[in-house]
Amino acid sequence: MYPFNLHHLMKKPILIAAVILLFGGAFAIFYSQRPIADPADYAAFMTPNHLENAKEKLQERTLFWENKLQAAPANFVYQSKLAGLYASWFKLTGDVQQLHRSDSLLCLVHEQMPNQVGTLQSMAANAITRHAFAEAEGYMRQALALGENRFASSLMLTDVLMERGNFGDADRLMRDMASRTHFDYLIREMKMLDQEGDLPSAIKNMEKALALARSAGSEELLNWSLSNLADMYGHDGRIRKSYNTYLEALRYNPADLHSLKGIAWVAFSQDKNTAEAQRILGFLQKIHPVPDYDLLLAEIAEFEGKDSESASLRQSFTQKASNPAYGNMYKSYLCELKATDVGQSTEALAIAQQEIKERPHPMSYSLLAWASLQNGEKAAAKEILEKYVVNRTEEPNALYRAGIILLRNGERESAKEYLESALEASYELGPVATAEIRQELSKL
Amino acid sequence: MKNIIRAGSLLFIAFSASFLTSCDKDDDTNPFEGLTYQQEDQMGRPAINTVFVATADKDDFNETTPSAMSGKYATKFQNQLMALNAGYTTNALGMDAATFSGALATDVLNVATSGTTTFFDGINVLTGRTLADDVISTELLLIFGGPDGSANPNLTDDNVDANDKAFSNTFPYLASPH
Repeated sequence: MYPFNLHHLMKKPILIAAVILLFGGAFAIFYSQRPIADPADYAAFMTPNHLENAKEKLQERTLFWENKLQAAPANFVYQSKLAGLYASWFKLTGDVQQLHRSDSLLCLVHEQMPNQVGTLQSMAANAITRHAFAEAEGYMRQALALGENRFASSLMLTDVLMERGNFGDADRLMRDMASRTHFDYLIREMKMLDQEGDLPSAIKNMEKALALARSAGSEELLNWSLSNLADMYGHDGRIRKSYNTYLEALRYNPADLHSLKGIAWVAFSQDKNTAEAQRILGFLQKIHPVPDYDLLLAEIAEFEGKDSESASLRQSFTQKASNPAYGNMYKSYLCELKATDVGQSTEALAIAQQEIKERPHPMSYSLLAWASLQNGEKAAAKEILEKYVVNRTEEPNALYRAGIILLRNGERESAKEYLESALEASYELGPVATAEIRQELSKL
Repeated sequence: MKNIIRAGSLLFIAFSASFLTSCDKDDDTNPFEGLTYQQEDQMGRPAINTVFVATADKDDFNETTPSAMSGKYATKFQNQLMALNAGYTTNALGMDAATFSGALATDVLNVATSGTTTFFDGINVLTGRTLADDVISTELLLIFGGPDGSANPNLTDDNVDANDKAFSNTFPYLASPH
């Protein structure tokens, strides 16, 4: 007798393979449908303490320089230091008055000592935060002409030019730069690649920048890089990776509210766990009073079919974001809201036209086309689209708007193409837009 | 109704150049692979680069090897010296404008390996620098003070004679931030 049955042995691997396949498949299905955002993963960050700690640290530095300035009220070094710290206060707390304090101090310094590259760069950084891109371009061109610290000035001017839709000049500036392996260069190149719609290369660049941040060991850089990378993985539809990267970002800066907001988006857009998304956003709203969260909460309420709640959240956002102290910061969101709100489309059109002056980016033209469509000017909308948007941006929101505009103009074939492309970024667009796109596509 | 907020749309703000000079880990002996390093700044004697190098030349000067500085920048330094003090003849070191400018343009801090270390103590000149040395007054004296240091008395002293807090006796010897 043979100690074993050959025939039986031949069959066994097949059986084992079948079992593995069966369980593996079941596991894959289970795994892919399992919610990604797990509150236990980020419970440690859902406390106001981290932000309070960050505020305390900033307060210590602020008091240090405030005391110095009090003793020597005209000292421009102290004024510059404080201007930077007040801008950090705005970033940390969302208190827009701090940004204006920062600007006022910089103006004082600039008046006393004009033509200082450092001051011009700080003024430009604040102007960019205020979305005053034309103003920022003026400062950066002046700084670049002065000549000191050209590398940093070129990078900041590149930022502004990209916002202003001047991709040709931005590209030429980038080509002139010597330090092509520098972190600050890599992230600009990443933005350029992303703008061109080459997300895989943009991600590779950001990963290279992250490796530099790791090698430098700077927690601030690591947090910033990871948080950005997490956003980009999300845009690429790699949601679990995006989520894990947000978690890693939070480990380097537990007060990183941007990453928590990213996790709220995972809970909503991917998991459809509206309660969890609302819980995170509610927490953020409590410790960080900026208008942004209302807009996201309105979208979630809309997804839940709670139309009146959604409308009141939209109104709350509009009211907060219309505060003149915010300048241009929320103009594009306000325009988008007003475009589809009954009786406000004319106002939306006016905002979009203003926005074009400040930021003639393809996305602003996309908004102008959208506002025109909602205002009943469908031919004008199509003309703007073809002249300024098509082939100039791959943003999913622009693709979506393009699809609808073409559809309303009776161009069903190309409308279908755009809507299908937009649908590929379903996670990024969110469930509400995704449902709308599906509905439009079902009619085509 | 669509209110699309891209999770990442607000984070791409202009990044300041504050990271250019960050060196958090001075014990890192393995430079990142594939990285090209570039000279970005240098300073020898306090305030000399700040005062004598024009804004448009700053980047270039900061990248110039010290041995090439005098050849490249002595004339510009001399123009700036004469613009600051049109009556300059020689200074307390007996240097005429060309000699002094050439010496200044090589923006390094000389150090004598033996003897007293000082920027200027009345006897020794530029044998190094200690924290308490009144470097700015010394420089002002050499620029404005004429052959015996008595010219332009209002311009030869910064009237800051000491740090406003005692230095430490241990490394890094500076006073703590205050």
